[in-house]
Amino acid sequence: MKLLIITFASLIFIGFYSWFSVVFILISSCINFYFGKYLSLNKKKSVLISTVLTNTFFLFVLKYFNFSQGLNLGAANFQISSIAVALGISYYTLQNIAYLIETYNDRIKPTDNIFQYICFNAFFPKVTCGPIESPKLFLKTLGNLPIASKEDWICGIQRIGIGLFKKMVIADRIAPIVSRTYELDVPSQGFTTWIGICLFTVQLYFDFSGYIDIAMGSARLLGIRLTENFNHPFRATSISDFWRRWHITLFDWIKLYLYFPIVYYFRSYKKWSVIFGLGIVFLLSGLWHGIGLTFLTWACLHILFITYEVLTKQKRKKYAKKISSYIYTPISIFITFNLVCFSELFFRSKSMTNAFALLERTFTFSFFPKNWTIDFWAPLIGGGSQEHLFNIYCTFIIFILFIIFEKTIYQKAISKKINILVWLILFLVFFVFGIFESGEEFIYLQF
Amino acid sequence: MIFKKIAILLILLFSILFVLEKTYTFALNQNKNIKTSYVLSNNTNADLLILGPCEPFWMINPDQLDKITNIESYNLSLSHSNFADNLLHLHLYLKNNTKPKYILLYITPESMDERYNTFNTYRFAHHLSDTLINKTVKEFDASYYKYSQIPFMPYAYYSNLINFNALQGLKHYFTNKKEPKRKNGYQPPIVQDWHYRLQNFVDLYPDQVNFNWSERREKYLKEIISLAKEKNIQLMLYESPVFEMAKPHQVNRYETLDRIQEIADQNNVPFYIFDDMEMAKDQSNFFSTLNTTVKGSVIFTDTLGHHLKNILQQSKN
Repeated sequence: MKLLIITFASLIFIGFYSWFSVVFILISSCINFYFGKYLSLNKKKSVLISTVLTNTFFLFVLKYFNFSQGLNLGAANFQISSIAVALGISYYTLQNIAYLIETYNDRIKPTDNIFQYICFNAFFPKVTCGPIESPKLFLKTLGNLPIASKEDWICGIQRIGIGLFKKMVIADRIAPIVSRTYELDVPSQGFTTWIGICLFTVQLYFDFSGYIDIAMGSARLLGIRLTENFNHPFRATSISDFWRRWHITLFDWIKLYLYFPIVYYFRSYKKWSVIFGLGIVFLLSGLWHGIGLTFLTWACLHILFITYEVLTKQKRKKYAKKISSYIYTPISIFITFNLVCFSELFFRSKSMTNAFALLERTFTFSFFPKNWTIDFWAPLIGGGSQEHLFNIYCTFIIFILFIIFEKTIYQKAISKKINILVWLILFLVFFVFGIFESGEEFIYLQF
Repeated sequence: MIFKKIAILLILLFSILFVLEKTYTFALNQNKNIKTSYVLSNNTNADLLILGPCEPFWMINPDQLDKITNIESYNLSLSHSNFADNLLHLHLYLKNNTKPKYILLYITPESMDERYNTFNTYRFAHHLSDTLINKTVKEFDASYYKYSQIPFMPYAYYSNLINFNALQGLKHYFTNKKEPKRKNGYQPPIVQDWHYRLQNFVDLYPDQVNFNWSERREKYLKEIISLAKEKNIQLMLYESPVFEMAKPHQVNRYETLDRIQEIADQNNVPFYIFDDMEMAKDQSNFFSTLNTTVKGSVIFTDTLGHHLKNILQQSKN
């Protein structure tokens, strides 16, 4: 009964966006449910391949093909005006493919309950932006739905609170600065432009992880635990480390169903099989986000960074031993963060022209500002009044403090015990500095 | 134990929000740089009140005007404000000051189109107890109005536009500040180089513009006229120079001006259009189609001053 209620609630939730999405998710779930059963009984590779390709085909058609304008080859539209025709298709298609492969390989028993499978795809907290759940664990949870305990409620509400804080106090405060930088509204010097570019990565993290926190908290209210999608990515000391901490469920999926098979298949090429595997992983990850040139460049940059890391792993280990970790770690974090921001510049840009214009601005003007108020703060916030400056100082202080104390905040705020002082401070900052009137949509809704 | 903690947290939170709300109300009322707070706490008592959006705010310097007209004026205009915004400012002004003899209200075809300027709810967040303000806020910003019933939400909702003013208000209170930064209400435009590239005059109307007449704008214009009549104040409407090159892009400019003239005539209100001034041809007098640079503002204030002087003399005679 509980499963039925959650399933219907999820479908109604999707229906608020579009009823086509409800119909499509139902059809997709029924077909994959049937083929999951079929594949577990008849091990036909051709059927597996064709079902995987069909899922991919629908993902491609519904995600990239704008019926009114033809194939949409542009970059992401960060001023989201409408939600994708089939809500959440990028996420549940991957879950469906995983389910088919797992049942084919006998790693899981196909489910007999169609509602369980529909819920696996449509579960409302995760349908729009993930996390992407493993069929083995999530179907098991749905098969035996736990009863939410008092602790679940406390943890759930606290997690939702943290998510709202990240989104409304940090991400939405940074959003206008990022938009101003990428729209090239105001001429700014190199350092200012670079900070604007870097802030997009910060915005993306707080926006996306904020959503995931809300999703995990909402699921927890029902007693369901979703998979963690982030693990303090700004503490990453290398690009490979970064990808172990960022959008974890997507990269776990890609690793499991693409990277490992590729590396295994080309294992005789040793190091180069790893590089080739990573290349495919990032190209497909870029394609998953969109098929514009900007995403392709983003993917290529990550391939380049990781190839460098794979090829210089031994050398870097030697250096790390020679230098104190107090110096080596912060430098590594700094370099990693800047490289990630550099790649995200292409991820966020409307076009390659826009990306190059930003790069030109970063490297052409005199890099460091002479007058910090006029040349740095004012172009970032779009004005140099005391009010503007006060707002941008607050934004910077809040997000820097949050990043520094993120681990502690999480430990204190998402425990089974309620820490009154921590929550009181978070609530007050939320009310005093939250953006209520002009909130932005979650960035990952468009993927 | 957990429920006890939640209860303590909620009680503490609501108590703090309640105290914060009171503190913000007090602080905003103390901020001398907020026009509504300043005019409510001081007797400005001007003879001539200038009302409107950014154009008069940046264009008419009362000090320069007073030297020519020999009357005292105060610039009550504020950027981005529509007629409802102007009406509430006038309403608050009249609450604590002797009524002015004259009101000069800026009006241009853009004033009648909802796409230009707006009602700035946050400016009235600390005056929601006033019936007229409450009613107008409810009409213009229903979503804000709904949330404003929660403690502190009237301020949290527009936190970015309010926090600094509240903090500054507290500073003014503790330093016993009596006068605002701009005592006569005028603010010279801070024109930066990038303004020229950002809002390139004619580019403001890239595909020509047809002004859409708003009934709501008309309603509030008429309310200002009624309030002035009720208080027996002579209201004058005026349009400052428009950058000459932009005029051909305003497709229905003259039809819209005719409609404004019609309203003015129906209510016996004079409408002065400074359409043929030489300054309108010189780009260095403007930083956008309707806004002048400091140089342009000095020229216009001078012309306006002499124009008003003549009118005042005629009315004396």
